[in-house]
Amino acid sequence: MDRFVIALAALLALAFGVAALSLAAGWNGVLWAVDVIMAARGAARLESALTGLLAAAVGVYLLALAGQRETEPGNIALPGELGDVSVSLRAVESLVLQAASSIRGVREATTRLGQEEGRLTVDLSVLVTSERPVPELAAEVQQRVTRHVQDVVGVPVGRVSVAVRNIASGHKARVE
Amino acid sequence: MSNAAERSDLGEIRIANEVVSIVAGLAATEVEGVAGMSGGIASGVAEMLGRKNLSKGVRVEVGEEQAAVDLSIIVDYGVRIPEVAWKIQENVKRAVESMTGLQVVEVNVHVQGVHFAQAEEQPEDPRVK
Repeated sequence: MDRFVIALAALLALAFGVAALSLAAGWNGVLWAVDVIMAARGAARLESALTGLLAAAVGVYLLALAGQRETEPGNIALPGELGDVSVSLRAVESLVLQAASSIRGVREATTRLGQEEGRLTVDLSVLVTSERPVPELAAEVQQRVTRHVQDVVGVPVGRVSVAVRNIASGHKARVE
Repeated sequence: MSNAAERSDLGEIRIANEVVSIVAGLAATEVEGVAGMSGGIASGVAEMLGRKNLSKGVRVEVGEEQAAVDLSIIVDYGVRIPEVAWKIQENVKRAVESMTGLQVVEVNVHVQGVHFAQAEEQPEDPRVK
């Protein structure tokens, strides 16, 4: 959805930029802008050209951004007899987050995945509650994430780094 | 080249790409553990407008006698992804081959996401019952 909005904004900016540029160039084919042209003839011409250029540049930049966002963060290839099987890292990411945040003592988790020599590397950043000792918690996070990913995705996990970002003040709600 | 053509004594038989896509899409979604197909923005918008797209997330390449299928899928949480993917490959190959007579040379499965069922999200061990 984000991508869609960005692309829309980019197109709007681009359209505005082109319109402003064409005004500056003296082209008055844009019917709805005839009045503006009348006002813009003369001194305002330079400003119009600059605005147009700026808007067009913003449009191009946003379009490039939208295009870039479209590419996936990467894939993990699995063996398959009848053809390739690949799992997008985004899918694995949601599995890792699910595994990590279901552990008692983890309030929030964010993650970044990578691949090294066919093995998956996981960098986790967690916000913990103060109800459990951190080393014990971190070890459990590593174990569970490793096991979960290996079970579900079927690829070996090279390392799981856990960074404790902060300790949340206050306890988790005791009753859900 | 948008159709597969087959010569018989009585004339030519053509199978549209769309047909192969739909057969493959249906065969993939009927496998247990598949939450759905994953289409791009275009099919997302089409779906919002109320058009059900049976070939969503399916790309096929159809030749004279052979076909290759690429599938983008979303799996259910808790399934073993490789097993589901292999099952999809078999099922799609079988369905396309038996329904269209084309030989399926490969079925590439791309897992785009994981679907979490809301009901299954339970806290680890609740302190208060």
